[in-house]
Amino acid sequence: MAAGKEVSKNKEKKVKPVYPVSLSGIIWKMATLGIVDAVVFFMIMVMVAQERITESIVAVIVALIINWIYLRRGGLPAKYLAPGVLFLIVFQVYVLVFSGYTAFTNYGSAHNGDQNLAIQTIKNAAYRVVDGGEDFVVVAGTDNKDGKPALLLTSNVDNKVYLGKDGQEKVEIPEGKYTLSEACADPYAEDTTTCAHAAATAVGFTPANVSELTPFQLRKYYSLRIVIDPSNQNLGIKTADLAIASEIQATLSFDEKTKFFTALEDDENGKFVAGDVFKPAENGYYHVDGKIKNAHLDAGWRVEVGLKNFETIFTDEQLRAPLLKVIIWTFVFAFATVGSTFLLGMAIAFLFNHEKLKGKRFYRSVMILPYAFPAFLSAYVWVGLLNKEHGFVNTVLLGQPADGENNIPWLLEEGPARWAVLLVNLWLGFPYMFLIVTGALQSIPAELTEAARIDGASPWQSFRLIKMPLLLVSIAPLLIASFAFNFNNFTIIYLLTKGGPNDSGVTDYDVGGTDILITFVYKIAFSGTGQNYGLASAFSILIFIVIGTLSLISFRRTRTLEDIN
Amino acid sequence: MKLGKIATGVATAALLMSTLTVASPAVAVQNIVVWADKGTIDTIKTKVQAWDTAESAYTVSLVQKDFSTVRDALKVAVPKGQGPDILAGAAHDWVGNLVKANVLLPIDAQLPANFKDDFVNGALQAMKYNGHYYGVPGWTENIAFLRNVKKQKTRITSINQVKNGEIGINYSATTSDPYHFYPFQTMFNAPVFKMDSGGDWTDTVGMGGSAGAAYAKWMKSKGTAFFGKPADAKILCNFLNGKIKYWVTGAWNINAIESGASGCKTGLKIGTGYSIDPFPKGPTGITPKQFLGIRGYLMVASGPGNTTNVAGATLLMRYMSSEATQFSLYDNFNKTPANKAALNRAKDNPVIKGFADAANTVPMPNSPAMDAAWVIWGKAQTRIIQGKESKPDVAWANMVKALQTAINKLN
Repeated sequence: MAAGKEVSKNKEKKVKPVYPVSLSGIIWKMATLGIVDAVVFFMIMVMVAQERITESIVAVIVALIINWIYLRRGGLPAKYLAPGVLFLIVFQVYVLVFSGYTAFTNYGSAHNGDQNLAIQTIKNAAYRVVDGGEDFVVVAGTDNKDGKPALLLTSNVDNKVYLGKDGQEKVEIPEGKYTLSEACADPYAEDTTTCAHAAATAVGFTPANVSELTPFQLRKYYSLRIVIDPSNQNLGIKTADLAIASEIQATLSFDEKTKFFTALEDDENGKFVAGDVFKPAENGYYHVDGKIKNAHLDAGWRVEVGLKNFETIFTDEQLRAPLLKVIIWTFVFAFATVGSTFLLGMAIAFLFNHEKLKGKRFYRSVMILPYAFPAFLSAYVWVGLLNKEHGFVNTVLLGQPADGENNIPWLLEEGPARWAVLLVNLWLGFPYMFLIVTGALQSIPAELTEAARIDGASPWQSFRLIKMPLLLVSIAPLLIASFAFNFNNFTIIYLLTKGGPNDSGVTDYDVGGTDILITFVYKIAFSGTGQNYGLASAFSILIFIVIGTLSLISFRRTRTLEDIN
Repeated sequence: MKLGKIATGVATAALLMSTLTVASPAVAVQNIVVWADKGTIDTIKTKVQAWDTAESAYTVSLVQKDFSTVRDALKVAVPKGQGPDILAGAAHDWVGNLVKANVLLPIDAQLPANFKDDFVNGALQAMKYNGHYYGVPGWTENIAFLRNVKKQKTRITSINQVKNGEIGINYSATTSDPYHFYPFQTMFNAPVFKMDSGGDWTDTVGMGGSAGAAYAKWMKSKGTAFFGKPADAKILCNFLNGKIKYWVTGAWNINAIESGASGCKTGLKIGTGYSIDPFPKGPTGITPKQFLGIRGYLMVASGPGNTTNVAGATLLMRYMSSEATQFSLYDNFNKTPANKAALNRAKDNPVIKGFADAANTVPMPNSPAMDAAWVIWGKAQTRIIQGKESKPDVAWANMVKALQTAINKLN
């Protein structure tokens, strides 16, 4: 076979071996690649239709690389690594880079989207309906004389009918030259017997079928402006939905070339006057003359702000006290959790490791149960158990009356809530420590402890000087990992208390008694009103640095443990 | 090698064909995409489908979203051009926040001049922010002063007639519930924000000064003995059994009152069992106000350059705000119509009539400042009520100051 020949040829040349290819292998490969290509092809079609050219080019390149990797001969490592690398890029590298970038922007609810979106938003609202102005029922169509788009208008005030065209004054159509529609002018009028009717068509006018207009044609109608007063071009009749037209006064004009807005009217709150020019400022708003101290338009966009978010973290006085509290509690929480779960887990592991104990397997299985249940389920059960009035802990374990006024307010006041969080986390975490300590214990040779006993060591000495150091060699890295995990243990805090209770003094940041850094960051990013993704991302970077440093130092120090061996 | 060539060929073909799809043909039927939470979808589904059938030029897709996160989803989707056309069942106090995030489209030009008169006082106004209307009202909610008729035969006119332990009010131990307490606060002329001359809310906190201090002191003097303890799960039963005479609540608890609950199975009937009253006057005779909450339909901006669905979306919004639709939503789902004519027809229902007649309402502010206020405001309030502040007026003044700082930071 050809493949075989090629292999032998390669051998002669002493290049890397190429493995023989089976027919079914090729079929599988082609089928899988075919599916991948079909999906990418579909994606590209969708993206191109949405005019997202950059994304489609990236998709094409990625697809080409994938095809190249799997279709060429050789390069076996790439074939194994490609899927993993791809997912790594999508789910880790991209996320990291994006949140890293976000930390240096003002991305948040007041700076949502890019400048084009802000311009669009400002343009959309750059008019006001004239107080007491006339409005009209609209039929869209074309003027038979010149084939240009025109609107047939029926006044809501005096039922007169007009023909209106872009840039011209409206022309009244005399009675008899138009026909009224059979339907009510108000499409959903309750009383159809007495309702007003609007003109449906007129002589010299061809109504259009609105649903068959293309977006391009529609935009022509939407941008159409009928002149009311030739001396005031900012006043006009305009329709936004081809059903109703109103008298409209433009309040801002936009220069497509410079991308500046100019005020056409004084602001009713006196913030700016007609003629003021709004220019983009570096804070992501349109300010008068582009100066931040001046008034700005409401719509903002995302801009890079350098180190400002980090500056806020370190200098904002409103933030300082709560942040300090949260940081201290985060460390207390992480250390206490690791310490308590490790001690309890180890104690139980030693207990159940005793060779004379019967039914060890049963006990061990039972001990693992809290770990086996999904954490979020246990957390919700605990919320119920810790209920102040009716919870099992208060009414049964502590013998307090149901509905008691003075029951312990687990989860409702800061002190008890912190104990409750630690308690529940101990319940959830000790089986893990129990498991790993049990495993590690069984790997310590029995001769060692026996030798210690023969040498006259007490059980405590044998534990402290022989077993403990040997245990720590294998377990210390896991303790560090556990610390890092609990430092960011969002789930347990959020499910138990949502970071609350939130009853300490007054600050303008939403921070509660059991908030750890990561839940605090979550609140900054997502909860309530002032979403601030930029600030939250800056926080995440700091958290990463803290955890990274701590882990690095700890791992360095565990090396000294390894020297014992 | 051969396979490699084929692959390049396939990819090139893919590229070529994808460029062909750019020119999309005109669509005869436009699809209006509506985002709504589950409760809203259950309520409006039948009417939306009816409109879908009646209007041959349009179809509607209802997409279910989580109520608490739909705003975040919208803020992400719109800049990418993936937003819906309408956000249905939106609370009106979201408007300011969403406008600031560039995701809503003004609809002033599409509204008939006299459209405002179609709705109960303030309902359309609630959809207005910075001088523009962004949606139409659907249904309204307000609280009233419910009275157990068996325990208290006649309506009371002054809060001074209420003794300790007679009133029920739902609030949390940590963030209170300024919405339910607002009538008490306005008994002291301490509105949450100041209003401008045109009757629109401003961003200046209005509950400071001597009025706020008087309210804070009054709350402390009354305390939990008067308002009851926080997070009390037994208010419903106590009200049904007559252990408390009054309950500050809204229409959402009427079903429970009429059908009873576990532990207190006998419900009360309106008129003979309970009555929906206006709030009594304050200690100094000031008539209190309640917040009017409006759930409505907001017009979503569809990203730069895309305006094709505005016509259909406006038509659907006008349909949902029409008398017939709103009466039907009342008839089937007990939603209090925002449409005046529909409300008048619905007033045959004593519950709707009760809440409508009890209403001395102001629309809840719809600015981002309001969003920022709830937690800060409620925290101070609940601490004062639970006796955790020795100087309530100072604590209140501090809260007002912190709130104003927080609001100024929003801009």
